[in-house]
Amino acid sequence: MPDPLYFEDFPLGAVIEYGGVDVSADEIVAFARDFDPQPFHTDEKAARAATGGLIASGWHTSALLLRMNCEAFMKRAAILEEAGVEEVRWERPVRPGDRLHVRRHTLAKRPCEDRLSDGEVEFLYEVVNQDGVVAMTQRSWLLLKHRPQPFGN
Amino acid sequence: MFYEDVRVGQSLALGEAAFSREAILAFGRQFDPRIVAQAAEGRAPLAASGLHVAAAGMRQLVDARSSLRATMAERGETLPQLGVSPGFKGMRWPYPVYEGDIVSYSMETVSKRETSKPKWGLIANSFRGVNQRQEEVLVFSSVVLIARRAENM
Repeated sequence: MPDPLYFEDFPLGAVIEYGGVDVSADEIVAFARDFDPQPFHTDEKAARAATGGLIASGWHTSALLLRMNCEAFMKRAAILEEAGVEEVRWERPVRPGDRLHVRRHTLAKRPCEDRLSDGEVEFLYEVVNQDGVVAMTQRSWLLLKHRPQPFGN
Repeated sequence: MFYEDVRVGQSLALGEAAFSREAILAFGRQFDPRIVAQAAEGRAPLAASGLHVAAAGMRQLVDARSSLRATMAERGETLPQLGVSPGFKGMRWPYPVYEGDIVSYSMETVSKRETSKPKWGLIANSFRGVNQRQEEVLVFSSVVLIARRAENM
């Protein structure tokens, strides 16, 4: 198990890229049947007229961002709380055959007012497709532990 | 429902979703590997991913809207064109959702305004989920485009 990632491991202003998932028509339809059964997400024929072909539910794109975040860092970050999502914008449609990755900006950091051991970090995530187009953005906060200090400091 | 039919302050009960252990794990396997790791450690009860709680609410909204549209179609009324959601703001999860919980979703219209396009109006909604103990488990705000009646054009 690699070392946990602490508050200090996310320098302010850093921009990093990670992830890479292929989105298939079957996955778009399967997700939408469970969570967002609107014709432009579930029915290729109906989608052709409405949106020029099948498009993924925005919630599906959000879920793919969550998976890429978990795999890249959230699984091993010392997260105390997912303090909420400030804003999500579904900017451009995600279509079958798209390949998505994440560009993450560390926007802000602030110490926790009532606990010296914790701090909050605000990230801006951009979900980018194979053409470099930003399909979605999300701004959200994580409450993280500070790196434990060795005794004697 | 058309723009003209929406009243500010109006609250709509959307329906309930049950969170079984299987459903929480199925979402985790696809999108939140932390849940799979917790299950492997024997963690009980399992908590649902916050995004799962939100997406299940979207399903309730789509279903509620579909039955509303079916009623309108039966009465021979014109059906409004569906608008795609541009995103959401201010998502919080005050209480976790655990396996066995049942979440009731509702949506209240907080404001409405016309847009520069005569075909569409803009509606701001406050979306809420409460569990069977009346604890708030989800809250967020969304803005959607909604079709105006044709006589306005």
